[in-house]
Amino acid sequence: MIYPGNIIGPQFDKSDLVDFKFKGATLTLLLPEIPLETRRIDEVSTIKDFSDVDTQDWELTSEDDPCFTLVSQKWNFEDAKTFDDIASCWVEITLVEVSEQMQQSHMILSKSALKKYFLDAFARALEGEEGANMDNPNWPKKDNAFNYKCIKRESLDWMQIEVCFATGSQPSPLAFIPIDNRYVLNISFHMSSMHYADRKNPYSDELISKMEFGLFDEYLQSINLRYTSETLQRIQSFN
Amino acid sequence: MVQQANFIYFSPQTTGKTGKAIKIDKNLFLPFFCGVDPKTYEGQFIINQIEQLRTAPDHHTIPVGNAYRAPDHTQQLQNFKNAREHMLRVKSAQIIYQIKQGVGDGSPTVYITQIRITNKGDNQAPGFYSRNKIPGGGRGPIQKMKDVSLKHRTVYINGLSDSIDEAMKQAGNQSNVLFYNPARVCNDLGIWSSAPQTYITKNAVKELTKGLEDHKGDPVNWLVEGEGGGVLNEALKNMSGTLTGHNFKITNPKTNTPKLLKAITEKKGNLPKMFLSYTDSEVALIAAASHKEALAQQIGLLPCDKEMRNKIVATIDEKSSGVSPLTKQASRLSSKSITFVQALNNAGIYRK
Repeated sequence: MIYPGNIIGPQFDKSDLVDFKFKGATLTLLLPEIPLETRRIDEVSTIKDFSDVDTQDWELTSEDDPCFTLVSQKWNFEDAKTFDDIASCWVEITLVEVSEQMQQSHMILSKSALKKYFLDAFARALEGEEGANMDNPNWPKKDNAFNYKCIKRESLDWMQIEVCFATGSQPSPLAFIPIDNRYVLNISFHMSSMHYADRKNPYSDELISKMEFGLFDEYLQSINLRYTSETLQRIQSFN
Repeated sequence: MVQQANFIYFSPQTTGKTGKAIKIDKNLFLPFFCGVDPKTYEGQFIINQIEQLRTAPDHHTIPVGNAYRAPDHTQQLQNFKNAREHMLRVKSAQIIYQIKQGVGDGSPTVYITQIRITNKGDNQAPGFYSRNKIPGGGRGPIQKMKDVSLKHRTVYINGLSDSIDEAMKQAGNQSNVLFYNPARVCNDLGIWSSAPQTYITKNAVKELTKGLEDHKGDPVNWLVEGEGGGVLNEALKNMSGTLTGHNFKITNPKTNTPKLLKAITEKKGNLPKMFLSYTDSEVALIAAASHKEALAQQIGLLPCDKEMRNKIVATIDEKSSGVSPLTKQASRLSSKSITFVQALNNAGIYRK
């Protein structure tokens, strides 16, 4: 990605490729190389094969679905003129095991069922959310399906919504990618504007938010998901 | 006033063979060690930019102008301007320096007299926050608590972090309420800081003081990490009343720990078993080593059982002995033996 202004940071074309194996698919993710910084985060799951994994000890989501962090990375963007860090980007990729009922019905491989599963769950989780921006029609909320966006893919479309990760910050993108009848991949990006106590960040929150969404789109494009023939048949029967 | 005997060359590249010599006050060794890690990209960059001061012009040259000045008057003005302090801002470091030609200097030399670390952070306000879980797992939205209810809850006061997200990650599964202590507050209340409190720091202290005062009679558990001890220290100083029922556990404190323990006991707060622990933070251990006697004395006065007190003092002794050679090295630095950066690289073995 060509970053706006004088912004410099990690590039996806200088990335490591990491494979994760599932019963119904194989997933390849790009992990950008990030400079050694004091506060960087660069963690990747040591488990690579999830074909037959016990999820009993995993953390739970708001819906009590087991979830597991595959990748957690945090890096900084700099201004090439001043070399000040102007924003940090936190990428988190988690694996969610859907409910037993959903697994047996294989319905998570249906575009409409996937959408309903997560939009309903988000509506429950964020019910009663308040804030100065809730009157803004473009602000992600239940009424506008959290700014739902369908991400077109050859076999099965993915979904994207928006969530505000911290009071006062801009909404960030979040994508859900069905892997097989058991797992859904959740990818979230969150960029925060960085400030030094003695000088102003020359880049606006709006510009940083725009860059965040651009980077997110580029990252989604880089994901390679190869379904097994059985999974493909299921997908075709539903969609 | 620059005491030249306290200054050593900054690095092998800055001894004056090319460009201006750069010298640094050796008393800055520990703050520099704690704020700048030469192994990281940022640390390398800061050191490199300081070395670039070799090529700094006598930027404080007197403008030619039209007015006639006697040569000695011009020289006097030049000396006066050069002796003024200047600042190099590079990433999180503020380097304060003067350019002057001291006794024994062959030419004008850069003297670094002070370094301040101004950690960067987000714009989130300090205060009490909680995190919602979301259906996708991972990080959920963090929201400022409208009605701060801490009764029977565990509150985490974070150490230095870039953002509220990172502070929540520090809290992990230990707690679902965060008292957010932003980087700017850590800058003001850090162990090496002598800066006056900024508005945001005053605000942080005020919010925490209110949280403590509003829950005076309630059971509340507090987990305090690193620089979080600084803001707690200030809030305890400002609050009225007592904190019976409040439990405090402190990890890697980067503050005046004897003072913090004294304030907690004066407010009748509880210090449970192993209330003080040190893991792998060299900054916290350096702080402990520099307050070791006062810390042992303060722990000795605590109303917990003797065995526990002895155990904690022994742990601090054992852990801080690892950094003792570093503090000794800092006091023995001499320009004849080693440059500042070489000493910093050698001290890398004390980093975890």
